[in-house]
Amino acid sequence: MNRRRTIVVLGVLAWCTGVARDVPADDLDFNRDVRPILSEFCFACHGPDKQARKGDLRLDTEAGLTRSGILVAGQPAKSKLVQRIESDDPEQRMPPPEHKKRPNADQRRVLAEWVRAGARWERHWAFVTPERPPVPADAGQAAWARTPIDFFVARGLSHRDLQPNQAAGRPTLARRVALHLTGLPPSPRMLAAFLADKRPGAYERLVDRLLASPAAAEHRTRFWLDAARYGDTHGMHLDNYREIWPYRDWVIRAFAANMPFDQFVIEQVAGDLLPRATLDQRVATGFGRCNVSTAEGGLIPEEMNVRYMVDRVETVSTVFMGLTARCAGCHDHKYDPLKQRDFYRLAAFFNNTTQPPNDGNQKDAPPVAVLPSAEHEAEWTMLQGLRRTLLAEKGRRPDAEVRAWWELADRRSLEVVSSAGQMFSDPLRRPPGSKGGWPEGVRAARAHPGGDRGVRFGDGAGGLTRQLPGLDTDQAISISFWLRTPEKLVSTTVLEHRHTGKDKKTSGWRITSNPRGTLSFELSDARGASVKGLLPGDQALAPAAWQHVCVRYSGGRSNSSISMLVDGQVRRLRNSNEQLIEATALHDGPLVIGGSLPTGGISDVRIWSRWLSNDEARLLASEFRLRDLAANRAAWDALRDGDRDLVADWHGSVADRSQQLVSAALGRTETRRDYIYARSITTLVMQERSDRTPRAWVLERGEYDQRREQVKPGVPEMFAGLEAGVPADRLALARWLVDRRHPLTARVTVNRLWQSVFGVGLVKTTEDFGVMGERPRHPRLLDWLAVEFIESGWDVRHVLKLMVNSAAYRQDSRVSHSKWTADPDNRLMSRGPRHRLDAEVLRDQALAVGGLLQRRVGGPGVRPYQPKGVWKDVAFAGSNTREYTADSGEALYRRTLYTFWKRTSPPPAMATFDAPTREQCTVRRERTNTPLQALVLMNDPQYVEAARGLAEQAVRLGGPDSKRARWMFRRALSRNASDADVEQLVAASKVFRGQFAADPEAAQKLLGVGASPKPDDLDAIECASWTMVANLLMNRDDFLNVE
Amino acid sequence: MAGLMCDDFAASRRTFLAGAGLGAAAVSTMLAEDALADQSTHFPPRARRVIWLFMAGAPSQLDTLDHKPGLQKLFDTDLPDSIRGAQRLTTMTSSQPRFPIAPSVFRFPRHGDCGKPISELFPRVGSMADDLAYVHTIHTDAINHDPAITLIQTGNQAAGHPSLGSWLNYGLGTMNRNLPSFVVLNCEPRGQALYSRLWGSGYLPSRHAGVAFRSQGDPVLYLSNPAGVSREVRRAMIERLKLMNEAVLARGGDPETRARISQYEMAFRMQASVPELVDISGETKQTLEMYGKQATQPGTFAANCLLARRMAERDVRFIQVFHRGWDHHGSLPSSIRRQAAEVDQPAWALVQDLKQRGLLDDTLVIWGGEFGRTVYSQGTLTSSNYGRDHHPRCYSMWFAGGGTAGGVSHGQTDDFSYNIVENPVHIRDLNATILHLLGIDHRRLSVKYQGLDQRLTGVLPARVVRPILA
Repeated sequence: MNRRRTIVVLGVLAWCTGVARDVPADDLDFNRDVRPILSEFCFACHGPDKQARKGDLRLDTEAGLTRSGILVAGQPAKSKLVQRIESDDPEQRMPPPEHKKRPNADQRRVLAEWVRAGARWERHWAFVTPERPPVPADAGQAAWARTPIDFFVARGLSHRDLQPNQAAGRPTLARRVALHLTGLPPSPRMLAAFLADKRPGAYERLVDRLLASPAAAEHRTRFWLDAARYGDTHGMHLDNYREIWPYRDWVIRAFAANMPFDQFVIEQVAGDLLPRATLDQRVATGFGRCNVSTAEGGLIPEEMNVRYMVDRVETVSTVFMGLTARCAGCHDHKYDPLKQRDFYRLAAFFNNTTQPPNDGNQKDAPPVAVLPSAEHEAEWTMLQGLRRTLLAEKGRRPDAEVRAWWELADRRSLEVVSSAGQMFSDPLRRPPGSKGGWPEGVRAARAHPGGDRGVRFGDGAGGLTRQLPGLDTDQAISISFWLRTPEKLVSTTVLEHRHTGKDKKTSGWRITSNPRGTLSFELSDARGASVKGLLPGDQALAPAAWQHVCVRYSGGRSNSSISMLVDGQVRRLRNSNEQLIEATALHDGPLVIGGSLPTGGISDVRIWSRWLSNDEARLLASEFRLRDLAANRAAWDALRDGDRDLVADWHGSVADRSQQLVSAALGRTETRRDYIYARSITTLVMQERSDRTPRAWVLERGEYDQRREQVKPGVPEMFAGLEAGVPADRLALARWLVDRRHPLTARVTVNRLWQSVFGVGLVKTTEDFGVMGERPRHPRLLDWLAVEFIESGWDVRHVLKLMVNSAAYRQDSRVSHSKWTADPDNRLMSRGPRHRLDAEVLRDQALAVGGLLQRRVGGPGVRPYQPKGVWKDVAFAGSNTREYTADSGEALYRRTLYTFWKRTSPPPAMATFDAPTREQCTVRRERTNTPLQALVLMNDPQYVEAARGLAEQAVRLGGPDSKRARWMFRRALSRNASDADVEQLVAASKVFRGQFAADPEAAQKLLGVGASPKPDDLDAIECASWTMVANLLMNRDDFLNVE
Repeated sequence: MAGLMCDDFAASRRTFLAGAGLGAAAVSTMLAEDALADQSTHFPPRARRVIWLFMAGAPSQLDTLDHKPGLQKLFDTDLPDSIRGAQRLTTMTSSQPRFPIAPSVFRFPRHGDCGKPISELFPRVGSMADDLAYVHTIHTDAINHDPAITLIQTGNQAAGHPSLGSWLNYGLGTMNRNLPSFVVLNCEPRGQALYSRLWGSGYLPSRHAGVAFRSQGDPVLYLSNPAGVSREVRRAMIERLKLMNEAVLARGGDPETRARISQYEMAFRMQASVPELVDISGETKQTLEMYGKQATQPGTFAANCLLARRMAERDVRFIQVFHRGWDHHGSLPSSIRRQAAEVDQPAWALVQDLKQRGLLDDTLVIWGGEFGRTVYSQGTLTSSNYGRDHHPRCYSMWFAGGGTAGGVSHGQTDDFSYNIVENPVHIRDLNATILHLLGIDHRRLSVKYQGLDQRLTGVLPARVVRPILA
């Protein structure tokens, strides 16, 4: 084959398969030229997936391909591979005709040529640890080149006989690099300083300044949040608020400090498992908690556990390794050597979490880290320690004392729980033999486990009334009772101690049950504000059965101060988001017991003005058992272990002074803990279960209930394994990801950095470095950068500097027709990058040039303008992110990074510009160009207000129209306007002036768009006209693009 | 390859469709002028447009379309274990001590020549029984709303995949100059949530996403000029912008700039065409009466059905109407009565209206939700009241026009509408059938993403439901 023909063949091939070239076209390269054809047409049946494999033939491994007898090196005509693919016989032809896929003539020729040339096999490039290649020798580019990158780029250009563009003008370059590094245009001051700096190295100094700015850290973070799938809501079904913004702020701080990327990875994947993990390191693990979660009523717990686990594998694989691991969830990967078993071994790392499958619709879905305010920080730390000490003390069982206590006396008449603080006790037991005493409709309950106890209420019986003193809302209260839920579950008030004042505000508490067998406790302060705890459906009481219920309120004046135990077991409550109440006194008054429990019943209502411990609640639930033991005078030695525990707790509660003190102290600790918790910021984190080691099951077809082999955590077999001798946990995985020998992490990361400044990665398929992904355009450059990255100590800023300081980056972005034809997508870097700005950058840029941008870093998400009803149109009726109320003041003008992100209805102006929903990991955004985008940029109040802001500044400048036009242009685009541009803008201003002069009211209306104050001191017609000029300018294509 | 081609999806789409028949697939930039599709499909399409009346929350098949007269005598008896089998239940009813059978309280009069029994809840739909095709054996993989509605809309339970409408947008391009090709109409919000992913473009470029029309404020977000900016001022601005952008193009040479210029012109046209579309003042009294009293109240199902017809007339390709509030875990009889009363007449009117305008032949109308409901009662069962939990194993939908056969019923469920006895139709089969009617072979409409040829119907086999085709 002559050289000319090869070039033609490969040219066509490159177009067909997306294969790119930067080397002479006279030698075939297996990875570049041959493997893509095999993977495209053969691997589905002759690849890694053994279930799908046909004829016991696999072509994705060296052994399979070269030793299966289908190849005779050097002799295509004798090679079955070639024969079958070339065959016209439908019985013989591969792929079989029904697959409707066939290599085209050029691809078939490539295969034949490759066999003729000796059929050399190579491992897929991305699965081999990168070695630093030599920087290409200087071929006359030394004067042009500014960083080693340029020698690689120049070599690629020279192979295509292309010359680089000249360097972009300094103002254009300043705007480009500022937008790429900070997501903002250069400030006028920074721009002026740069343009005035005539010494060598002025540009590099600008880059250093930009990289050191907080804006640069924010901008890097913005990219990372797509990858981490960060959102401010849970993302499924109710899509309620979740609090995890401290994780976002952690990322900002990490980038601001230029944290080495390996540490950045380790802390996010496994910060909680680091020795002596700091609070910050735990916050970093929010990365693992950004997945969407649900609390849908009918959710099947294991189904959700599996879904969360799979999402974590997918995210870690995509973000760090560029692997499309998801495919292997259902079967061995069809193209990459990733087995289904590999997938579940990876999954096992994430399958040992304390996170419940149900997020409870609450902002602080556990596990969380607590970030108390400065006021409470010290006390919070102290309480943690104190609580540990007290619990340890409580766990002590002085057997000898307990035994002596048990054996010495008759315990039948003793209370089971210390009566200290007891305010009320009524067994609701009809005196034997008596008939009267109870109101009409109140009857004895049935089938009580404690014998003849309890009452039930017929329709209209109205319940029993008892006197009870009121407590203060900052005091603890514990309420214990037996409840038999009715056979037909109905809504009813079980206990109520409330008072309605003259102001119609109801204070006090009540316990209600609803038809699903769930209980709720609600406590209102004197102003009518209330806190509430609700047993969710999956924790509901069983119907038609007696159960012991203990409701506790610690006095912390928050939802989280409420807890419930059923039959002595703590039940998870749904208390959605924190509500807070004031410290007020509650009224004395009637306690109403029962209302309508026609087939149910209630007994043994007891109330304490203190926080009962879990042990005490369990004692109450075990009361009848204890009474039996006491009545039988069972000998200590005859007691079972569980019973001994009960007796010990009993002794502790009623007879052990030191235990009583511990209980009291613990109660006070709870009060403060709940109080501070509810007034602190929380953030979702990862936490390992301590009661087992991580494991998972291979799931048939990925279905949660089709468990097959159990597997331990491990990394895919195609890679070198975990470090020997360390436990296989997330920390080991994290360290493995950033091991110097890992073939993917560094490559994938530098590729993403490249994408962020050049607009497209060296490997365009940022998300897929597998065999079906694109081969890098400049493989050696990618490897050189990857090794440089690692050897620089994973220094992100260093790599970014190499990129933006390169001559390749600094080129002018203008493109001639011939260059467009030769390098349409600029993959050879034959010119500077030009591409549309991302959604967030567009908005931030508008705010900046409009003089509106507020520069506060960090904090909870903010709500800028959004058209009315966008959330409400889709949200679940009970969602707490249903009503969108825009913020006011500064919050309207924060960087878009801080915009509150509701994942089932993301900010529409962002989605229109290809921002992902953040429901799953995204490492590459599309850049579309649509009329809806034009509508946003012309009409969204945010952009109109920004245009007005820019206009106001120009109008205040005074002078002739041309002066204003020039100033405005320069502020928007950082460069000087051409005379033609000025003419256009001035002409436009005259047209608009004429239109607004004819309709001055319209001018007033336009100036009223946006919340910033109207410029009443300026001429309205003038201002409105220039607002439209600014609106025009801010819709120019070069304003919407970096160039 | 240059021109307006904005990304490589357009290229790969061409690669994958070109050989396969969707040949001249030009640029698919939304509303691209040169993309007005007279594109050849894999085979001649029977339908050019789809109107999907989506009943979000999942209507009970037992009270609407799947008549089970034998249940009356089994009132409050336990659902036999042999029927329930080991099938999973949601955690809302899995702990119920009993699974008592709740026969429908509704009568099922027979309609039309085909004699189809249809619930009295839908008298008008019943009156056109001979025009509809019924499938009683749709089944799905998901048992809760969020995953199930995501599955039926995107072919996948998890987020991130393109919706049916965006696949059509991608595969077939647009048929009109001034309107989006995929429109979503949400009715008054109630009950179960919707998610923007349901009309999202997943891994396809976002221009293929559905555009949600709104009943309050601008019909399309950001459509109106800001206060004080007249159409004339906007026209002056856009004309000037064009001049300036032409200079940008001349200087920079990026063809994307040319695309940008035309997008602004299209935006300007949309500012006129969308208000014209939603302005129903030109509809006759007779037409309005046909859709019912609510037809003039924006955001109602009736108003949205009327809008859907206006869109179909203007060649919007895929129109999805979401009607919500069908999640009847309790008090089903009274709730479903209210729901059906809103839907029956407008759905009927839409089909009739399309028919009288000659549009029904090539417009496919679909009615149905994300799963079915259980034969056993959730919660209290009385002779007049019951609730039904989620049931993914079988449920019913109807189809009209667009190449479907009238009066045909497909698929058989058991006496309890609990299991499928014959001819199951998975969500995949449903989607394959819809694509088929539009002239697309579901196996050949694919896009390369994450190294795979991704399809709406996924990797498992899917079959076109031929018996319902005309």
